[in-house]
Parts: sequence; C-alpha cells; structure tokens
Amino acid sequence: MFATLLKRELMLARRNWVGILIPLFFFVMVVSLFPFAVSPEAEFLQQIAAGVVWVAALLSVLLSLDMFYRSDYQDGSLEQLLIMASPTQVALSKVTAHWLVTGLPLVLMSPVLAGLMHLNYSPDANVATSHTAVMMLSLLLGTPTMCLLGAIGMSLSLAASRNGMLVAVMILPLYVPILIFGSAVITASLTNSGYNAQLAILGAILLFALVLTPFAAGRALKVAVS
Amino acid sequence: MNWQEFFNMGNHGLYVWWSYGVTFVAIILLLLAFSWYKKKLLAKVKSHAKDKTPKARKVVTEQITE
Amino acid sequence: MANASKSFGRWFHQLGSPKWFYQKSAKWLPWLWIATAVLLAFGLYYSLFASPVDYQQGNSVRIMYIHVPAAALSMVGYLAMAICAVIGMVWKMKMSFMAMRAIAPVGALFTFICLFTGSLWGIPTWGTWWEWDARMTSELVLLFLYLGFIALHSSFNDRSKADNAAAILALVGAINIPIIYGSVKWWNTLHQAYSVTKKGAIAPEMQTPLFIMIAGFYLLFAIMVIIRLRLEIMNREAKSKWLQEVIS
Repeated sequence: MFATLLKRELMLARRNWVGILIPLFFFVMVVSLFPFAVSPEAEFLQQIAAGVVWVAALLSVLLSLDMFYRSDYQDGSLEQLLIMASPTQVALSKVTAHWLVTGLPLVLMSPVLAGLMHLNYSPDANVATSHTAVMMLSLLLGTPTMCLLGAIGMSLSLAASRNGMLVAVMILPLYVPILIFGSAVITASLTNSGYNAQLAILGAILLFALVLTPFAAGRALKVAVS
Repeated sequence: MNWQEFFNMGNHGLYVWWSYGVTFVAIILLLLAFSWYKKKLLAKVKSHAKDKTPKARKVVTEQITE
Repeated sequence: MANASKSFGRWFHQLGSPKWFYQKSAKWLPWLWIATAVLLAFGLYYSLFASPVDYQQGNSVRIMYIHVPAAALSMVGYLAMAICAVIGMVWKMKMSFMAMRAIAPVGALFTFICLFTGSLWGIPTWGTWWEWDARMTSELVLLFLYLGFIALHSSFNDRSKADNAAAILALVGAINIPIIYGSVKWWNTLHQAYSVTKKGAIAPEMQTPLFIMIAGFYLLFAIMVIIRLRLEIMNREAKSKWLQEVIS
C-alpha cells in the first residue's frame, strides 16, 4: 500500500516538474544573494557558509511543502486517500515523496552552493579540504527531519488558511535543534575538530522524528478532512 | 533610608522599576483585553437570547399581523 | 478508598461540565482575588523593601522576584496546555479544549514578562540586554510556540477542527521543548563568550519572598486562566439556554 501511495505522489510530482524546480532555484538564489549583501571575500564567506546554506535549505523545504498537500486537500483526493489507507501511511508517503523530490536534490545541489560560498577555501592552496562532503552529510541527515516536521505543520494548517506564513510560524521554532546541530557539524569541520558527535545527534533526531511525526501528521491530516 | 534612595536603588532603580512596571501594565492590559472581549460576548449571548423564535414561525406571525 | 475515588470521579465529571464550572467559578473568583492580593502585597513588600541586597548584583536582584515566578509559570503553563490537549483528544472533553485555549494567552503573557524582566536584569548584571544564554533563548522559542499555537487556533472557522489541530501542535511542542532546551544549552556552552554570574545556593532571606511571589503568581495565573475560560464558555455556549438565563 505504501508503495502505491508513494508511486502516486511521485507521479503527481513528475507532472508538476516546474513546481519542483522552483524550490531548487530558490535555494540557489537565496544563497547567491549573501555575497552581495555581505562581502565576496572567500575567508569571510567561508565563515558564514554553514549557516547560510542551512537556513536556505530550511526555507526551501518549508516553501515546497504546499504543493504536496494543498491540491490533494482541495480536490478531495486526500479524503479518498485516507479512506484507502491509514493516515500514518498517507503522511509517510507524502513525506517520503517530498524528501525525494526536494530534500534529496537540495543535498545533491549543495556542493555548487558550497563552491559559491567558498566553503572549501583554505589559505594553503595545496591542502585539500573535505568540508563540502561533511556539509552534504549533515544535510542528508537534516533534510528528512525538516520534511517530517514540516508535514505536521502543513497538515495542521490545511483546513485553517492559505497563508503560508502560518506554517512557518508554527514550525520554525521546532527547527531550532536541527539548525543548531546541522551548522555545528560544518563549523566543527572548519575548525578541524571532530564532528561525529554532532552528526550522530542529527541522526538520532531524525530517527526520533521518524518514529513519532508520521502519527502526528497523519492525525493532523484526519483532522483537516474531518 | 529615605524615599529618594528607595527609588534610586543604588542606580539600579531604572531596571527594577521598569521590570515591575511593565509586568503590572502587561497584566492589566491582558485583563482589559479580556473585559473588552467579554462585552462583545455579552452582546452575542443576548442577541441569541432574543432570537428564540424559529425563522419559519416568525414569517408566519408577521404575515398574520399584516 | 473506593469512596474517595468515587468522589474524585464525580468532581472530574463536574469539571467537564461548562455550566457547572461557569456557575461555581463565579463564586471562587472573589476568594482567589483576595488570596492573590494578600500574597502579592506581602511578596511585593518583601521583594521591594524587606529583602537584602545581593552583594554582587546590588538592588537589581529584586527583579528576580518577578522574573523567576514568570519563568516557572511560562513552562508550567505550556505543560498544562499539553495535558489539556491529551485529555481533550483522548476523552473528547470539550472543557479540556476550552481550558487549553484559555491557558495560551496567559502563558504567552508570562513568557513575555519573563523575557522582558530577564533582559532588564541583564543590563546591569551582564552588560547587555540580550544574551544568547540557553535559558533565555529557550524562553524565546517558548514564546514563539505559544504564538504559533494561538495563530493556528484562531485561523480556523470550524471550532472542533481548531481544537484538534491546536492540540496536536501543543503536544508536538511539548515533546520538543526538552530537545530544544538541550540543543540550545549545548550550543550555548560552545559559544559562550561571557561568563554568566553563577547563582549559588539562594540565601534564606531571599527564598521566603521568592516563594511568596511564586505562590502569588500561580494564583494570578489561575485567576486569569479562569477568567479567560469563562469567556471561552460564553463564546461556545452562547446559544444554550442556561447561559442566557445566568446572564440576563
């Protein structure tokens, strides 16, 4: 059943491929604004790269939520889905599709942004650094959690209003821990100190969220259509 | 200790009095907001109380009096 | 024993009835106001006059007597909201959802008071009105959670949907608060630039007024929640006959 649901979500996403590219464009654009706003110097950009990339990823996940839930809710197919399968399954399939379609591309695209932000800069040109790979790892563990928490917020606000700000106001406070540990991983890598612990905590938060949030999101979906 | 000293609080008076003052004002403001809301709700309850006759009957009685 | 649990059951049952609560709470409120006034009068007298000056912080320590109670209630309030959410979701008690909605603005107010007084306390003690201290930052996130809850609850047209959705949010927030606090604390120890004055064991002359103030604030919180809850009952039972009779 889960596979069927997931297939359906992915097929809908493929039909709306322009809508899927928009969060990615947004991700690149937000990050590329920072050199204009602060300074194009490599050393300086490297210092803020972790935070900028993480915040940009967070916002584009948040902004892409709408298309996975809104149209299903409005045309009534969400109701049909909830009759067909358990709410947890529906929520999980939506989260998975959302992550595959926006989260994963964000992770794959992030090296380009790391380049824009000179994340791999080192004063000694002969020394190769692995900061970009570490950043990808942190995003790989962080973006699914963002999708999971975002699913709760989006499902809760479905029947409430079309205002996208509402989701942001509800969910952004909950994003604080992943933001802290996600950018801490990169900062630790930059200062050449160990980052395994921070990565482990990111993974732990992901597992914890994976266990609990589908239930909450499923319940929220049920409330929305009730 | 005189009053001047008491209000000054060893140059910390500004912080202490602002803290207590804003706390007091904030609590009063919320209570005022509640009482304002209460007025609105009273009107709502009263309008429901007046409007007891079902609509269909109202139309009929109006027609009869005409 | 069986008798005790029976009477508790009855009390719980009565508490679930908006009519019973609306009529009884009108009788409680004056007494609660008197108790609060006495406690706060004593508490304010102690905290502003009769308590000693801290040898390090001087008179600014007097801010503690409202800051600490407000901080305690901001967290207790959120916990109470989450408990109401669970009771409402499991037993479908409408009073529980009403109480949840009633706690939110009061809790947000006390969180604001905690943040504001904390900032003012910070100026003489830390030299800055905002410090990314673990407790202060968590308190700020808590305020955001309260505001998110109120924003969500008030953006529905359908009341039962609003209750159920907001209850889920309150629960998710309550589970997250320890995680947020833990992560902010860890983050803060990593970045700590100032050494915040260590608060050791509190002197007994300060403890007594602090306890009195905490008790007073608890009662004040309860009063404000009861007032808001009565309004919520008025709003939801506007069409019921008993309320119209009580009011007119």
